[in-house]
Amino acid sequence: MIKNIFKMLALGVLMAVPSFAAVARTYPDALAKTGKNPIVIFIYGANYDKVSEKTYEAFIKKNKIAPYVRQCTFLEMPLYQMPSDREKKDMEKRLGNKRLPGGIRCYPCLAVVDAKGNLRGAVQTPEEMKDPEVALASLKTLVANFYAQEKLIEKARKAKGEKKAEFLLAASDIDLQMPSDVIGKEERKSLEDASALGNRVEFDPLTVVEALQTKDYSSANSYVRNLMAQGGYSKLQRQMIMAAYAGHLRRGGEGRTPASKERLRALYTEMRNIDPNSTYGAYAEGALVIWVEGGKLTDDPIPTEINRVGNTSDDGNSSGSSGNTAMGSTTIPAADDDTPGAVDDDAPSDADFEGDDF
Amino acid sequence: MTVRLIKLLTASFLFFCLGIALFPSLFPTKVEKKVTKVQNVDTPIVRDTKVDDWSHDDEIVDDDDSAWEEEPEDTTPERRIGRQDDETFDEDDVPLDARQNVVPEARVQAQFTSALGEMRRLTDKLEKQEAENFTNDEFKADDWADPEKIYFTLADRIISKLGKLDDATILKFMQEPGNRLDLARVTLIRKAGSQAIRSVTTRPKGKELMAYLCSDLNWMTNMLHSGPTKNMEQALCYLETLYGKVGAEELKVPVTRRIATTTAMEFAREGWSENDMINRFNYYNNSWKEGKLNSYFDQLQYWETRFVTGCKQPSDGAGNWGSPRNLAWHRDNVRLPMEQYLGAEGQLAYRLRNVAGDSVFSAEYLAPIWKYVNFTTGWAYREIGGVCGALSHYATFSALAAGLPAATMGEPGHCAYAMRIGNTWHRGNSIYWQHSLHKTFWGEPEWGYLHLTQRLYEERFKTCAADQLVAMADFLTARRKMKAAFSCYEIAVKAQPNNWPALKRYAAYLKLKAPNDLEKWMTLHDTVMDGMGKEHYHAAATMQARYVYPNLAPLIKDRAKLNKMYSGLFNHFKDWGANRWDIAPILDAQISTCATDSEKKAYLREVLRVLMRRPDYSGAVLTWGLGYISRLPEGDGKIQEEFTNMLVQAMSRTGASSKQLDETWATLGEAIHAAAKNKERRTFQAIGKLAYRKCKKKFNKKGPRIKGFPGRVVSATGWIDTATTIGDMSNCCLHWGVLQRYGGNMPGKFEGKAGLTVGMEKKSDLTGVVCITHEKALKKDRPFYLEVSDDGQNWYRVRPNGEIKGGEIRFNLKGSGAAGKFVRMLREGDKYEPGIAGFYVYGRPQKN
Repeated sequence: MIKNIFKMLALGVLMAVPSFAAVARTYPDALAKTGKNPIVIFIYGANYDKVSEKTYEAFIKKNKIAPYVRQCTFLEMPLYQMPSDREKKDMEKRLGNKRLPGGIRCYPCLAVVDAKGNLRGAVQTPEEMKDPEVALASLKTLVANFYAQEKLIEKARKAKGEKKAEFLLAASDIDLQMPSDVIGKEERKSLEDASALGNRVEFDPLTVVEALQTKDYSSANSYVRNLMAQGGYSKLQRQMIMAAYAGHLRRGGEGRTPASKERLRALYTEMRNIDPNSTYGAYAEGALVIWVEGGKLTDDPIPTEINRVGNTSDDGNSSGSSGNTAMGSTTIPAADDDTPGAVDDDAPSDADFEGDDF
Repeated sequence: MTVRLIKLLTASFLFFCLGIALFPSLFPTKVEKKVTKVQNVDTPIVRDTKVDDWSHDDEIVDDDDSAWEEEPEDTTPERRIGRQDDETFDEDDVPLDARQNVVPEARVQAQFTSALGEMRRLTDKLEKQEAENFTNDEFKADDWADPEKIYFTLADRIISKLGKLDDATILKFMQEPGNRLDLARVTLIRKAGSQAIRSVTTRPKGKELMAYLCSDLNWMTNMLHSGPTKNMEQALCYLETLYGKVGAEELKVPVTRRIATTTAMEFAREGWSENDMINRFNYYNNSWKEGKLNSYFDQLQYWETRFVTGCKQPSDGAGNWGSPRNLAWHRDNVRLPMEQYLGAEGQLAYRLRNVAGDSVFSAEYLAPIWKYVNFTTGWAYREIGGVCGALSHYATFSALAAGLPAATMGEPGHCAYAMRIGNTWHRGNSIYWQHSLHKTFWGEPEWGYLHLTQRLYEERFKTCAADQLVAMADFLTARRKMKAAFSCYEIAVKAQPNNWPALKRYAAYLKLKAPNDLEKWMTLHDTVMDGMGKEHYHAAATMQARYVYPNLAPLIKDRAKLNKMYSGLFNHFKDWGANRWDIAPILDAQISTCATDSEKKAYLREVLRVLMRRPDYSGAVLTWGLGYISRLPEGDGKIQEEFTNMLVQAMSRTGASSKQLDETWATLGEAIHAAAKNKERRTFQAIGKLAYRKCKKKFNKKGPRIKGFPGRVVSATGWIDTATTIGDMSNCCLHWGVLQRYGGNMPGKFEGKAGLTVGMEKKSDLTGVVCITHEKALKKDRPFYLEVSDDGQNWYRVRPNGEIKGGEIRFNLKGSGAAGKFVRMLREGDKYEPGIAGFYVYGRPQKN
């Protein structure tokens, strides 16, 4: 009985201890041994940055990150500014003949890299990197996304035709960078063949702007509604299409009267509601204030959710980030005039927008 | 009686009114005196401006430290020390010493040997003594209420210590830190003016600051000799504000002191507000204290810190890059090792329009996003993207926010930036050689001066010794010791020949005191060539052109000798130096000293003889020559023709051997580009034909196949120009080829109203135009337009628009009645277009 209790206790202790990550000493070593698992690289300024020093102390010396990254390969990578000969040698030793992936905007950071050296994501905003607990939470999400995406890519590799395309699109829906080499010739063909699913890969927002430029409202409306009905576009892409459409109507020009505020309200609301939390959700929210309500975006204290990702006070204390998830769908009050704009009599008639689902 | 009463009442009333009017000035109240303005300042600082309602006459005014003190009465005018600027040489009212009232003879190099040896010793001493930091609190806070008294006490002391005023005594004097501190105090009073110092001392902490600052030699030296000292009086006021905020203890911290001093100096120099100055100081000081700046910031000297703390657009608000919130965002979100800031613009998407189709140049471009990004400029552009301006500012302000020197700079039609990695400045996002830096010390925005500034202050102690000797020369000038002043200026510019402001000041003094002294001007000329001219070609040439030639040339009677001196300037330079620069202002300055046409011809012959042998300069001199001819007054056209012939002859002498082929090609390319810009049809054609003869290999053997229009190709004998900025002009002769049957190449870019323009020999009745691009299938999303003009100024559009067939654009003008001497092709939008291979205008020249 006592034996059994001890066994249970030992099992409990073992379960409570997190499994340790494999630790690599060099980047080529990490690339070689990581296999299907991601490499988590802690990249930091080794000789120029006190923030990195503090972060190193909190994240690495206190062993806060590595033990919790489970199957990942963990690597520490110091960066040197104007390196001395000794520092150059250290870098050469750590990097071998490889180069760190591009696309990181800020150090210190935790970069998630695959076995081929593709950067898939990074924890790098100041508010994430300020605290190991917060950084770890973000990192875990990235790693979970990595596995989920890899699984879908693997399925896509095995599948054919429309199924292949579906897996690829599902993979690209995950909030993580896709490796650049995933969509090869065969994948592209599958995407193109699968009705409208290739749209996402080929999408260029400025092509929509250019296509709309010479269209009257009626044909612009048909064009946009047709695009939206085709499917295949991501939420962000759909918001961009709406931005181009609303911009086209807002500006008018070439004999066209700018659309009424009511119509713009409908379009920007539709755009916002696709994904209120994205950059273009916030764009739509701002557009509603300044172009529909006729107000101004004021420098009032901003909502808490925005504060979280980038509030900077006048004296220069910032908690800032590039935050893609900041603004919710709460209405920003108009500063000067909060009444809805009057209906524009010169606006194009509803006949111009036949089929538009306002 | 009544009349008398009325008169009496009127008189009483008038007296009463006069009394009321004069009362405030005769019996001023405390509150009114709280208004303090700094004298001689463009934007006076006004504080606590209350309107007195006389309701507190009986109140006891609390005269604690924070209260403003009464403005002391003016000193008698003759005792005032006027503010000295860079251009003037004021003299104190002191007796003239006859022995000193002479211009000393020009010295040869050997006569400087001993003095330069002493200067080297002084340089070494400055380095050693900096670590010891000399302080002397002889003048207490209250003493600074009377700056004139301090000035005259110090002036007498300095003069008595200088004894016989020869080189040895002066340089020995300079080696003593106590003497240097005295000189620095005198210099500060002269730079700010005594009235301004007096105003500073009326501020709450003014006297304390003056006593504190003027007791510390290192601080004074760094303030006075780390770049320009414009608006010193304002800088002192700003420094007083910061001193009041952080206190003496914090200002003892070297980095805080450096941040405070440089911020005050730069904001005063730029004329920016006190509030912004405080915010900027807080940003850097707090960031440094919190360990958020790049550690390289800790080692910066005062001069280089000024690039950082003095970065532009300091006010808070959307669109400002230098606002505290934007700097803080960059600091925290673009934290990189120094080398990686160069290229940080890659974090932004290049976009002329946002996804809504709004132009980057419109207010709508970022408008809806400001709230989301908390009115943070860098963040906004990172979300939406931008063009060269946003990209370059993003990289620049990322470095600046981390405390690293950088500056944006303009290029023709483009924005780039300069960034320092270690001690070397690098160009970022740059496409062209012409740079106009947005941050300069001497108002000279070209790249060469940045290089010169770096070199000058890298030799910190040597420059400091020279600067202090210039300060001594200025002081001696003020004390009417001309002979000694001359010696000091001459030794200073010899000891540190890269000292641009010192050379300028000496030239100004020479112009004032000895304008006709040929030997002295020649010595200055040679000093510039032997010193600055060794490495900093642009600055040396500009120094000669602006400050030496106008004074020296009239003194040289032998024109041949003068022309040799002019061409010798370019012979002295190995290449372009740090960067290519514009030689036209130098050549303009040289030719402007020629009085007659024959003198001009002789000059042109000489410079062409020398410069056409120099591959670096040959294209530039031809470009200048063509431009010069186009600017000459019309007259009978004889001189233009002679000049043109000289240029064409010079061009035809260029080598055509395989070894020289590329050089000749590049030279002619630059010249033909200039001819097109000047709309010089004949020269354009002459150079084109010459290039074809000499460099046939560079042209196509076979041209594109064209289905033409009736008539002949009337554009073949014209000129063609593009609105695109061309960075590398070496292939511009192919522009001429674009008009010929074998075709050529030129960049096609049609931004708004820009495009390709062709000037024809004669006005013609047009039948059609064919444009061949290098594209196989042009996009048809935007139409091409054609416009025609008789004078190149007034244009009208002809119909129909261009028909796009594959890579070809065709305008069929049959029956349109279009006629003109100039034709241009345009396209709406703002995208780069494929290159142009051929452009052919068909028609029939009109007889008249």
